[in-house]
Amino acid sequence: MKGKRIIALLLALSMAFAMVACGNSANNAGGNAGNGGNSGEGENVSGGTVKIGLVTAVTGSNSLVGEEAQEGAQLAVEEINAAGGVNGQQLEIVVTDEVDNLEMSVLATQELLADDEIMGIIGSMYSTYNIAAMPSVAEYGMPYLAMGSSSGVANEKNPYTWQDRPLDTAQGAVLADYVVNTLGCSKPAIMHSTQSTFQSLADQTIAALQEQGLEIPSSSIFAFPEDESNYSPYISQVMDGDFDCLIALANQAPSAVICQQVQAAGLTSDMMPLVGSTSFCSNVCITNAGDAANGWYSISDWCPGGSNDVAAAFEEAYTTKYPERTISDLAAVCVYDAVYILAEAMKIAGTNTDREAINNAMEQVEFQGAISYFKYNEDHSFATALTVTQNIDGVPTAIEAVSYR
Amino acid sequence: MSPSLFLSLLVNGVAMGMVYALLGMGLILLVRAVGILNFAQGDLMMFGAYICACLLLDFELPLYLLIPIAFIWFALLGVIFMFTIYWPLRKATYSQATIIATMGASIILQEVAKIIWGSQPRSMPHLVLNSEGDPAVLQIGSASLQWQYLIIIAVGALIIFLITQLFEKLYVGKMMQAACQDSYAANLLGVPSILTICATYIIVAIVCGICGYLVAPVFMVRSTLGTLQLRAFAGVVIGGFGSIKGAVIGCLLVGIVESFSTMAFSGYKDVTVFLLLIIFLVFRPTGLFKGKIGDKA
Amino acid sequence: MIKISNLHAYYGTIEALKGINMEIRKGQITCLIGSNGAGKSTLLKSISGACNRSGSIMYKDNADISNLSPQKVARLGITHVPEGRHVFPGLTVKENLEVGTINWHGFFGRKPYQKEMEEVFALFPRLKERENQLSWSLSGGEQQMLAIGRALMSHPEVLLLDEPSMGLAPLVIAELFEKIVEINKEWGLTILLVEQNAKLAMKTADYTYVLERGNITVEGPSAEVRSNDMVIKSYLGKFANTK
Repeated sequence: MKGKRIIALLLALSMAFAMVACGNSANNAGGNAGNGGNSGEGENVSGGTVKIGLVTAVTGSNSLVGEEAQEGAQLAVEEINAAGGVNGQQLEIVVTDEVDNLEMSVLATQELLADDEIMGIIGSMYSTYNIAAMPSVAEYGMPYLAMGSSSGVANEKNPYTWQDRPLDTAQGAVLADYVVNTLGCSKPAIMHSTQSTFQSLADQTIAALQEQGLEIPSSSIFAFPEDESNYSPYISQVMDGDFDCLIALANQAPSAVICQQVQAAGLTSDMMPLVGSTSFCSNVCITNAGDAANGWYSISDWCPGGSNDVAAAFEEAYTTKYPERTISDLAAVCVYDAVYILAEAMKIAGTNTDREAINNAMEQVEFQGAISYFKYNEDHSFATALTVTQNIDGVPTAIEAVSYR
Repeated sequence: MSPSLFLSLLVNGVAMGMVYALLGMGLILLVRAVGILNFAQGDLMMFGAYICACLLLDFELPLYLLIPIAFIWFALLGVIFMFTIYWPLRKATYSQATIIATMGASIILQEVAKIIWGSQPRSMPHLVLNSEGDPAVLQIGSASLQWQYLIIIAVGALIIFLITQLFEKLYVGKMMQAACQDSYAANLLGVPSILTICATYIIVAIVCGICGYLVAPVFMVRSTLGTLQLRAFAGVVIGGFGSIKGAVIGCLLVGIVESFSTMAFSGYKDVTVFLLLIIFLVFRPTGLFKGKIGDKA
Repeated sequence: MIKISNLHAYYGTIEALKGINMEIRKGQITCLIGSNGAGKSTLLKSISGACNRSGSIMYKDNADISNLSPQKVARLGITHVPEGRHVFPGLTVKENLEVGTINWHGFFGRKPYQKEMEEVFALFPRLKERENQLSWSLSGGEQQMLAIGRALMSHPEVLLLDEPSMGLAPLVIAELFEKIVEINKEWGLTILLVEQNAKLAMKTADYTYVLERGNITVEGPSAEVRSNDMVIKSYLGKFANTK
C-alpha cells in the first residue's frame, strides 16, 4: 500500500542520514579539538594548518580508551602549537570513530587516508585493527603510527607503519627475565585472555620463560575469553597447584576484576608474587580494585609519572588540563608521544605536504619521549625500554626501567 | 583433584548456576507471559546492578533503605520496559518483531547506562567483609569459600522458592499463569490481562535487579555484565522450556559444568557449555524436563 | 434479558455483522445457527466485548454494554465460553475452575468458592474424577465440560456458548447437551447457544435465529423454524424431521 511504502522510504532515508551524521559528527568533534587554543594567534609565517588523523574508540564499549587517546592528542597538539607549530603551521587533529570492531576501525582509517589534507595517521590501540588497516595505509603511502604493541604489526614489514610502544616481544622477554632472575620463580601459573593481543603476549612470555630454562606444561596455563568475569575456578586451581608465581595478562577492566577475585580468594602476594601485564598498573585497575591491586607487579610500557623528565612533565600537564583524571593512562601517553613523533618527522623532512618525505624522515627521528627514549629500529619500533612497576598503596611505583635495546 | 579444589569449584559452579537460574527463570516467565524471548534479560540485570551501585556508592544508603528503594526502581524499569518494548508491538503482524525489539533494548540499556554513569566500571563491596574490610571467607579444611558466593546460592534459592510458590500456589499466581497460557479466555473470564502481564514484567525486572546486586561485588558493575544471559539461555534450553523447575535445574547444570570444565579446557569454557547445548538440541530438544504442556498422544 | 439493536461488527475494514436485531429472553435457551463464516462467533464476541462493534446492546433493560471491555461484561454476569474450549493447559482441572471465580473473588480476596466448585463437580462428575489432572491431557469432551464448568464458577446469569459440540463424538455431544439443558432448567441460567449442528441446536433451544452472511434471515420459536422450508433445505436436509 502506498502509505507503507512512503513510511519505508522515510525510514530508510532517516537511517542513511543518521549514519552519515554519525560519521560526520565524529569528524567534526575531533576536527575542532585541535583548533581550541590557537585561533587568532599572532605570527604565523605561512599560516594555515597541517592535519594529522587519529583513529580511536569514540563510542562503544571501549570509549573510555578513546577519551584518553583524544585527550593525549589534544595536549600534544596544544603544546606543539604554542611552541610555534610545525614548519610554521598549526597542527590539527582529525578524529574518526572505530567504535569497538575491526570493520569500523578499518573504515575509520580509510576515511582519513582518502583525505588529501591528512599527513599522518595515529592508528588504533588494537594490533589486529592496525594489521587490517595496513594494506590501505601502504596503498596511500601514509605515515602510520600503530598504537598496538603486537610484534605482528612489525612482522608485516609495512614500509609506512611505525610503533611507539615497546613491542610485546620485548614485554614477554622482560617479564620472563624478571620472574625467573629477579623474583626467583620456577613454576609460574599463567592466566591470560584469549583476545589476540593477550594471546600473542602469552605465547611470547611462555616462549621466553622456556628460553630461561623453565618447563611450562599446559596445566600451568589458564586461558579465558575476553568477556569473562568469573575467574574463581582458575584462581582456585592456581592455589591448589604447587605454583610459585601468578602471571596474569588481561585488559584493563578484567585486570581489576582479577585483582579483586584473587584477593577475595585469599591469594596474597606473600604466598606468591603476583605479576601482571600493563593493565595491572593502569588507572582503571587501581581505582576499581582498590587495595586488591596492591602488591601486584607489572611490566609496563607506561606507569603514570613515568621514569624520566619528559614523562613527569607530561603527567603534570595532563592532570592539570584534565582534572577529573587523577593520573594518566597508557592510551593518553602513547598518542601524545605519537603526535610528537609525527611532528618531529615533519620538521626533519622540512615539509607539511609530502607524505613520502615525512615517512622517510621517520628513520631519523630520535628524542626523549614520555614512554621511553625513542630511536629508530629496523622493525620500525621506536621504544627502547620497559618499566617494571609495583602497586604500592594505590600508586604504581617504578621499580626498575629495563632497557631491552 | 584435591577435595578443597573440588569444593571450591563446586561452590563457584553452583553460585554461577544460581545467577543463570535467576536470569533463566525470568526468561521462562516472559516466554510464557508474552511469548517472546527476551534478549535484553542480562541487560536488565546490568541496569539493576548500576542502580544498586548508584544507591550504595553515590547516595550511601544503608541496606534497609537500599532494598525497598532499589525494588521501586526495578519495578519502574520493568514497567517502562514493558510499555516501550512489548506493548506497542504486541499485535504486530510480524511476530518476531518483539524479539528484535528486545535486541534493540539490549543495546539501548547498555548505552543509557554509560550515558548516566559513565564508561568506567564501578566496584561494589562484598556483602560480608572480614575485620580488615576484605571479602569474608568461610574456611572448610583448606578450601576458602567466599561468603558472597554462599549468599548468592542462598538468596537465589530463596527467590526461586518464592517465585514458584507465587506462581503455583497462590491464587494470584494462578491468575497470572492463566493470563500467560491463554490470555483470550482469561480476558473473557474477567482476568485483567494487562495488569497481570505488567505484574509479570515487574517481577522479572525485580528478580534481574536482585541478581545484578548479588553479582556486582564479584564481577564489578560494567555495561558488559549482560553477556551472562547467554549461559542462562543455554541452561533454559537444556532444562526444557516448559517449567521453572526445568529452567533452574538446566542453569545449575550449566554453572557446574562451566566451572569444572576450566580444569580440562580452560580456554574453551564457553565452547564446552554450548557443545552441551548442541548435544541436547540434537538428542533431546525438549530438554531435561518435558513441559507441562505436552502433546497428547 | 439482552436486547440487541442495529449491531454492526468489524474485523478491520470487513463488516461481519450488518445490522442485527436480536432478543435473548430470560430463562430461555436461544440458539443461533448458520454456516461457517456467517458471523455467529462474531455475534458472541460483540456481546462479550471481544471485538469492534457499534450499535446498541441493552442488558436487563438498563445497562448498555455495547462499549464495555470483556472484563466488565464478565463482571455483570455474562460469561462467554469461547469456540475451541480454551482451557488453561498448564493448570489442573481444579485450578481452571478457580480462575473462573476471578470476577467476583478479587486478586487478594478470601471469599470461599468451595460451594460453587462442589456444584460444578455435581454437574460434571467426570471432572471430579480428574480434579488434579492437567487440563491439556483431558479428552475433548472433558475439556468442553471444564470450559463450561469454569464459566459457571463466575456466578453468571447469562451463558454464551460457542459451538460446544465442535470436534466431539456423538455420544459425548448427547451427554453434553443434556447438561446444557440441566443448566438452563435447574440452575435457571439464560443461554445463548451458537451451533453448526442445526438439528441439535433447534431441538435444545426454545428460540432460534438463523444468521447468513451477517444478517438474520429467519427467526422464531424453534419448532416453527425447524419446519421452515428454506431452513430444511439449507441446514437440515430432506430427512431431518423424520425419526
